[in-house]
Amino acid sequence: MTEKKPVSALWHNYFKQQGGWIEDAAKKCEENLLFKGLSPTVIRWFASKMHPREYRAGENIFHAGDEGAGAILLRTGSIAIRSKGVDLAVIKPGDMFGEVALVDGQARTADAVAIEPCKLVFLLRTDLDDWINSQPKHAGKLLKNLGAMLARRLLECNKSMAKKTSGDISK
Amino acid sequence: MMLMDRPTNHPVVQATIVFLTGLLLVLGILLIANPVVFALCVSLGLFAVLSPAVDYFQQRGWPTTKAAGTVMALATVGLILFAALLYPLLMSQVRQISEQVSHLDQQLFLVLSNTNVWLLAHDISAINAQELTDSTLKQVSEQASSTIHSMSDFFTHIATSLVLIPLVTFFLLCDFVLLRNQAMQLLPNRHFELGWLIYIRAATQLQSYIRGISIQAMIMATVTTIGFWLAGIDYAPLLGIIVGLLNMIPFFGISLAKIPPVVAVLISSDPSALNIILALAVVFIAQAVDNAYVIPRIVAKAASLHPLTVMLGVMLGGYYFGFFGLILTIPVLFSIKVVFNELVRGMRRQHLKPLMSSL
Repeated sequence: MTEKKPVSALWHNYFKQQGGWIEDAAKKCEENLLFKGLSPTVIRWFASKMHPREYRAGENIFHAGDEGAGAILLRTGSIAIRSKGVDLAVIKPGDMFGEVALVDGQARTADAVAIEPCKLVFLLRTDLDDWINSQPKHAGKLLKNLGAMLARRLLECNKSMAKKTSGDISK
Repeated sequence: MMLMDRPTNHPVVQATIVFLTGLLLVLGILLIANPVVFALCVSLGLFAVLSPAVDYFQQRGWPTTKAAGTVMALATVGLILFAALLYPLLMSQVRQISEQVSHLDQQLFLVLSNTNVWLLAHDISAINAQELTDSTLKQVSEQASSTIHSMSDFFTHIATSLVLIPLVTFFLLCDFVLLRNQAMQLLPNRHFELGWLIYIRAATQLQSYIRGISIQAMIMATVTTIGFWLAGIDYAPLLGIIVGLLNMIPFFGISLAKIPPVVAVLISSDPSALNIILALAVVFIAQAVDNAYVIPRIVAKAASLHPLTVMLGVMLGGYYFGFFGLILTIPVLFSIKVVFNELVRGMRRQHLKPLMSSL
């Protein structure tokens, strides 16, 4: 169950950033490969540009075929990456997924479903583009990290395919 | 196949429902906020123009408030300097024009009489100078009075919103991103990414369109000012600015832009037919430059609307909202088109989901 928003939320000062989650997201970012080598100040500033969301258990974060607007960093709970009803991976707090959408607007290749109630933050491609334009020095590091992340994903995918193929041959 | 059984599942129908709901909501807000809509629109325009400068300072590590305050201060100083330098010149020209307009009928009669003499001398059938003067004056005065009336309404709005506009612009420069993000948080989870994608595409296209037509107006004003000055026509800067502003109005702007230079020649000390031709030639050349170079490169595909839609839209916009409506109709129609297209595109992708997962 997600927390019910009080009616007084209507009268919040919408110009004031509703903090709390920023510190948590910044901490999670510090431990993530994407932000390796960036200073805590830069990471905190970056976290403040993210977009917090909450999902109920069983709710879809995205579907296969959706156009991706950005990557997602999980703060609490767990998420299953599913394809044709088969769980491909389980995302734990601090993990980032859907990072291909940071590069371009390709369609998502699998479903992401919340296994339990979870809190996450979206890192949108448009915010990343703005940041790359405004902070090219730091952006170089981040893009290198993003390249490393995607290369690692590709290696993992290759390994699992090789394993599957060798399994099929031995059968 | 099941999806085809229910017509409400069709992406276009879904997009239309969402779009109409959003449109009703926006119209409701506009109706309530009617007294401040003009100030909000001008502030949004100023925000679009000034926000790159705020970004520039922020990129150098300035806090948002400091960056926005500096940009606002620089813009205000620039506006005061511009007004101090150009205002006396423009006002003296406006005063001269208003004094000379009283002799417009005599000047026009003189031009037509001279033309008549030239025609008779070359054995060409003569014209009735008096009749033509009266009919031309009637047409010019009708068109000019309606344009002047709507333009004066426009500037009266600006004058009455002088306090509100800088305040709203400052707050937008400081907090627009935060306010936008908070508003996007209201989207339901399943439409969160789609909502952002639609917003990003619509905002990018609209911003480039507004920048495009602003640059177009400035180029037209500069080209015509230089042209009028080279052709020796009086009130060149004033006429240049008027032609630049009128050129922002699609379809009708092209015709309207030809009236002020002709009137300026008629009320000048040398109201010859050659000067009228020269004045019109300057506008024609400027518009040819606009069509050949400025529109394809700057405004580009931005106004890719059907000509009939543009024409009817501008007519209705002008009828209901005056000069303000004439200028804003195309950006509004354009936004509607972009948002609707993106909604349909997003809904189509969602429509494909069950098919994709079944593969």
